[in-house]
Amino acid sequence: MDLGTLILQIGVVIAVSRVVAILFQKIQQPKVMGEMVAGIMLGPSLLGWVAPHLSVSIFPSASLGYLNSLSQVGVVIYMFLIGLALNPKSLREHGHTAVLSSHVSIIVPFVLGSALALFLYPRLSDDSVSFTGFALFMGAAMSITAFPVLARILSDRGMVGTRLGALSIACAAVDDATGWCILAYIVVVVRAHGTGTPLWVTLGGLVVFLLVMVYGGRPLLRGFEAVYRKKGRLSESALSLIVVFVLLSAVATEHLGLHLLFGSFLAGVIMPKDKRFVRYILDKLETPTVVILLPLYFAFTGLRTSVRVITGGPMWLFCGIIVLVAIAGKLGGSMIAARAAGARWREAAGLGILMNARGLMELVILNVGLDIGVISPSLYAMMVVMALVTTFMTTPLLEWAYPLRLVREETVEVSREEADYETAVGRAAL
Amino acid sequence: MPKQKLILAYLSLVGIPVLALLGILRRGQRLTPPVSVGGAWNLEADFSALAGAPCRDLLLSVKQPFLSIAQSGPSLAFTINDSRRTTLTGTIQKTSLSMGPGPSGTPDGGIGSCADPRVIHLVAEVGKEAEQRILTGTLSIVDCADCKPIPFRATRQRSREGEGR
Repeated sequence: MDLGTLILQIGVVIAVSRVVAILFQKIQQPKVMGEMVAGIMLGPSLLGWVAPHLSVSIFPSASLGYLNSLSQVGVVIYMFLIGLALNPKSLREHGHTAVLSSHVSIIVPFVLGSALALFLYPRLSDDSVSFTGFALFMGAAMSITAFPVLARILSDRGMVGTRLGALSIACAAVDDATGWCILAYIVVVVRAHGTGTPLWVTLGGLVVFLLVMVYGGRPLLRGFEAVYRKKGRLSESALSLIVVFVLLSAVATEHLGLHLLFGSFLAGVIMPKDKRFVRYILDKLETPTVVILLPLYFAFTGLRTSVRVITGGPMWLFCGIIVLVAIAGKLGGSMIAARAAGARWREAAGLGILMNARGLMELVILNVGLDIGVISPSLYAMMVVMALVTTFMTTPLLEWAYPLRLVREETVEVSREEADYETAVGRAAL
Repeated sequence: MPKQKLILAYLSLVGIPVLALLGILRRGQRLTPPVSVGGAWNLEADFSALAGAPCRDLLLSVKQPFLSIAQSGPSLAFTINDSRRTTLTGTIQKTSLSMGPGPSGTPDGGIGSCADPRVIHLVAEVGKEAEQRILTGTLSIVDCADCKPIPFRATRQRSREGEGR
C-alpha cells in the first residue's frame, strides 16, 4: 500500500467525521454520536453499498491493516485517558446510594444480557465459543456505560453541580471499572481456551503485572506529579515518558494474553489523581487523540460493520430484542436502584437515562469481542446498532425527564475546580 | 437510608440477580450451537472432468483459499475468492452445509450463466480429521447441464482470532 492512500484515508475520515459531528451537534446530540455514525457511513453499510468502486478505491482491503494500527494507537491512548479520569474518591463521597445504584446498574443489565444469551447462543453463535464466554460477554456488553459521554452531557447541560450529576459520575466510574474487569476475565478465559495457555499462567502473570504496576509504576508516576506541582508544567520529555509507560503497559497486557487496552486503562487508573495534574495531562493528550486518532477508530469500526448482514425479519427481530433488553437492563436497572436507595422518581429516571448511554465504550468492547471471536459479524452489527440507539436517545430523553428548568433550580454550589475537572473528563473523549 | 433497609435492598437487588446469573450459566451448558465452519477454506477437487465445459474456466480462476465463510449461527455468508469476490449465502443444519444462489437469485439462466460465479452451488458435510475441520461434498453450477457436479474436499486454514467468524 502506498502512503498516499493512507493519507487520503485519514483526510477523508477526519473531514467526514467533523461534518457529521457538527450536524449532530445541531440536533443537540453529543459529537461522539456524529462520529460513530460517520464511521458507519464510510463502511459497507453505506459507502460500500451505494458506491462500491469508490469505497474500494479509498479503502482497499489491503490497506486496512495500517488504518487499524493507527486507530488502535488512538484507542490505547484514549483508554489511558478514561482510566486517568476515573476517580475512586467520587464513589466514596456519595455514600450508600452510589454503591447500591452502581452495583445494581451493573448486575441487572448483566443478568438480562446473559439471559438473552440463552436465546441468541444457538441462533447467532457456534461451537467454537463456549456458552459461558458468550453469556458473560453479552452481560458485560450490556452493562457498560459511556463514562466520558455521560460526563460531557452533564457538563453541556450544566448538571455537574446537581445531586444527579454527581451520582451519575460516581456510578458510571464504578460501572466502567467493573465492566473492564469482567471483560478482562472473559478475554483471559476465551484466549486461554483458544491458545492452550493454562489459565493459571495468564492469571499468575497478571497478578505479578498488577503488583509491578501498583508498587513500581505508581511511585514513578507520583514523581511526575511532584514535578508538576513544583513547576506547574511537565517537560516534553516527561510527557513522552508517560506515553511510553502507557504503551509498555499496553504491550505487557497483550503479551500476558489479555488485550492492549487493559494495560493502557490500568496505567490511567494508577496515575495520581490530583485534579490539576489530571486536567493538565488530559489537556496535553486530548487533541491529537480526539481529533485525529479516534475518528480513525470510528471509521475502522464502521468498515467492519455491515448493517446489511442483518438480513430478514428474524435478524431485525433479534436486533430489536437486543436494543430493548439493553435499555430495560441499564435504564430500568439504574432507575430502580436509585429509587430503592431513596432518590426521587425524576432523579432516578435521570440516572437511568444517563447510564444507558453507551457510546464509544461499547464499540471498544464489541471490537474486542469480535477480535477474540466471541461474537459473530451479525451479532456485532446488531450490538453496534444498539450502541447507536442507546447513545442517541440519551439527550432527548434526559430533556424530557429532567428539563433544564429543573437543573437550574437544583444546581448546588460546587467549586470551580470540581466543575472544570468534570468538564475536562467529558472533553477528553469528545 | 437506614442501614437495615439498605442491606435488604442490596441483597434483593444484587444478591438475587447474582443467583439468577449462576442459574443462567448452568442452563446454558445444555444448549447446542451450530457447528463452527467460519474461516477460510482451501478446496481440493478434480476439475479435469469439466474439460470443455463452459464453467471450467470459472472454477479454475478461483484462487485458494477458494472460499471464506462468515458464520452467524446457522446463517452463513460465503465469499468466493474470484476476481469479483462474489458473495453467496447458505445455511448449516447439524453437520450439513449448503450454499447457493437460492430460488430467486439465479441469474438469466441458459448457457451464459454457466460462467457466472453467482450460480455456484455447494453442498457438504462437516467432518473432522486429525483435529482439523473438513468439508466433503459436491460443487455444481445451477441450471448448467454441461457442468456436472464435482466432488470436493476442503480444509480450513488456521485462522487468526475472530477472522472469518
